[in-house]
Amino acid sequence: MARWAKALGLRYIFDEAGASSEEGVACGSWRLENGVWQLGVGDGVVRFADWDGPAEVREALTWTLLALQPGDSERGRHPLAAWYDHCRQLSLHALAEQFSGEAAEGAAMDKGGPELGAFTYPGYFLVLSPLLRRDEASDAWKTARELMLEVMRATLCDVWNKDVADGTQILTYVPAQAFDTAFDDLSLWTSDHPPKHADRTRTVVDHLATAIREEGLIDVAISVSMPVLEQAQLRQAILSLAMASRLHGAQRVGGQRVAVFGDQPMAFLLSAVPESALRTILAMVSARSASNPEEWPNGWMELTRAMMRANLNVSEAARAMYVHRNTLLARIEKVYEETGFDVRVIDHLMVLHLAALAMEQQGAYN
Amino acid sequence: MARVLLEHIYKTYGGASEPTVKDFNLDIQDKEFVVFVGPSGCGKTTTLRMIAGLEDITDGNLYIGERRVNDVAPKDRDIAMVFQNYALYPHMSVYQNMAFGLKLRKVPKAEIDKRVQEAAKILDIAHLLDRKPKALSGGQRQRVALGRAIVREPQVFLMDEPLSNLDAKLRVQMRAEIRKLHQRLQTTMIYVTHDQTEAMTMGDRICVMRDGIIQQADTPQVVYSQPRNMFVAGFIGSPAMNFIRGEIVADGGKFYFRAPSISLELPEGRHALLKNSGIVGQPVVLGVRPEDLHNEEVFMETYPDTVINAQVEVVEHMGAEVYLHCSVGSNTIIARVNARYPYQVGSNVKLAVDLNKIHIFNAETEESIGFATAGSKQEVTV
Repeated sequence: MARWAKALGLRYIFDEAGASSEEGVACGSWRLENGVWQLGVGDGVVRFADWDGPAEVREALTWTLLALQPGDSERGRHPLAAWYDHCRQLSLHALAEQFSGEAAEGAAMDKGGPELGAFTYPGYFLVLSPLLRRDEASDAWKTARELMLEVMRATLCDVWNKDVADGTQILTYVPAQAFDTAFDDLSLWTSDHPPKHADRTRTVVDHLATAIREEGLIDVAISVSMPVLEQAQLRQAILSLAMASRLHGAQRVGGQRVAVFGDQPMAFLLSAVPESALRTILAMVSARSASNPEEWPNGWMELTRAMMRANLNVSEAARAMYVHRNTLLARIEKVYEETGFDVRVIDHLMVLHLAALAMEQQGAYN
Repeated sequence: MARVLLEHIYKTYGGASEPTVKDFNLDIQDKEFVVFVGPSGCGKTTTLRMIAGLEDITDGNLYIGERRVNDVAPKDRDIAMVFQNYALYPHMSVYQNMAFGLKLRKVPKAEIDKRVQEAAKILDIAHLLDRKPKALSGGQRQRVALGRAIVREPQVFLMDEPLSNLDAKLRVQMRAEIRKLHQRLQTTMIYVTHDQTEAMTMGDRICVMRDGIIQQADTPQVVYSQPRNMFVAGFIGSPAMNFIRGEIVADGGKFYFRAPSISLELPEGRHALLKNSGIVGQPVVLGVRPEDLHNEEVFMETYPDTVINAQVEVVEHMGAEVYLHCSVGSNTIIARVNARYPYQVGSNVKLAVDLNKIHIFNAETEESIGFATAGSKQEVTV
């Protein structure tokens, strides 16, 4: 802070929570009061006198003060919440770099205090973000937060939780045992295959998102970390949580977004490919048909997805798309005529699938 | 209880060049049961979510009752939503599950008890109130999920494919249950499904959608018997309507539908319509439902000019009836015929077309020319 103050010529005062202000400022939030910018820092407020800092500078200041000190619990910030705040600011590439190198450094989080050792392992970190409408009242977050926690308790019993810095997400830790119990009690599994651990977690998290939506008419995005098997994995798990959260965009279904770290290797791979390489991939695919994928028949992506999910079984894909088998066959022929790829052939289907993913990723770049 | 009015509603997602829902206009009357039906991606769920307030409305006006609710938060719209994956809480009893939402809304305990008991009675689950979800069957769980919505006493119920997770038998049972529930509660209900049978059997009115546009909104009977276009005609009905491409030919004061291996003289009662619609000499699509193809002797003897020759390719035994998949020239058609006759793959059959029930669509626009609604004197009882 002192270096910032010197660099920008700032004058600041730190007020402990409740010391002077009637109403606190949420941790990580800025408020302009009587011409004075105030930053909530969890255990109090920092006031900046005679300074009208632009939004970008205030944002940078926020992260410097709050997020780059993951071990700093002296200010009342929980080290895991602060570490997550820090991770959220990193690029996907930087997250991956840290993630792959983190295992060796895992012990660093051990210094965070006795609370970290109190977690039951294995378990998962979850981050819940309500998808509030632009015009919703300012108390909407507070209402949503209470509701999300109540529903979590009703589904999974008591869970560890902390608000993250900008006050729009809740970071939680849930023992795997709680997922297993909820899964068994609700008999949610409909597949013939015995559920894997990841299936159980994923299914219960989907259920949780539905419960929040039904109970409060609130869409919620939920990201889930890798399984945490021991205390030494806490930092790495938070990194995986940040990565899952970053890859959320493509997962949206009916307003419900659940992203589990292990579910997204393809999305991660595509996001790691430079835009120029994506363009080249699309050029290579379209060379076969001598037309741009934008000009291909409507619904080729849906058809590709359906055939992938149906393991190339046309009847199964037709059922999933609610069309007659003959109609689907006619569409397959049309796509073949226009693109040169036959989705009944696995090599062709994989190329079209890759093209669809590349186009989605390109959309994300744009 | 409330009327729901959608006026010129549009929804465009950020970054999309085309709206997902386009110029949606529908006046849903108080206590009406309306079903939105259409294939995946047609915009039905998006429209429902706009009514709920889960999606912003890009353009247009939405009224619930007398109030314009475009900018009203979902929780303040006085609606309840039931989803495909209904949510129950594993550690709570049925009573607590139903009371949970009211408790969150700080409704007094006595009032909660009154509403839960009433809803349980309506849904016939009063004897299950002490049970945990684990001890309930699929149908009982679905009833509890409905109960959770009922206790909120909303003005409007929104249901997003609530039966999709149930097995076929239970789905049929729950269809009737929800219909009865609507009659009992006398509340406006808007129901989304991709299943045309569900739509036909449940709705006072059904609203068929495609590509974000209403194709037709009317009673199930009208949508079935007078589809406005080929999409509606093909989507509603199982097996789907047969479509045969051909043209309308005028010959000696008569009109014929002609296609390879098919020539049908069209009823006199429709001549004026054919002349006025300007499609004579133009390519058209003839639509005929599988049940309007007859193999009964009496029908064929009465209307010998309507008989077409077909070859059986597949025989599907459905119990009381049989679906014959036949080839007629280069076309494949399905006839739904009586199971008492023997049918053999590869054999030739004669099928008479009930010309009173056929549909004619403009091949280019795919719109109906109104053939099925125009009068005709042809009648037959078999």
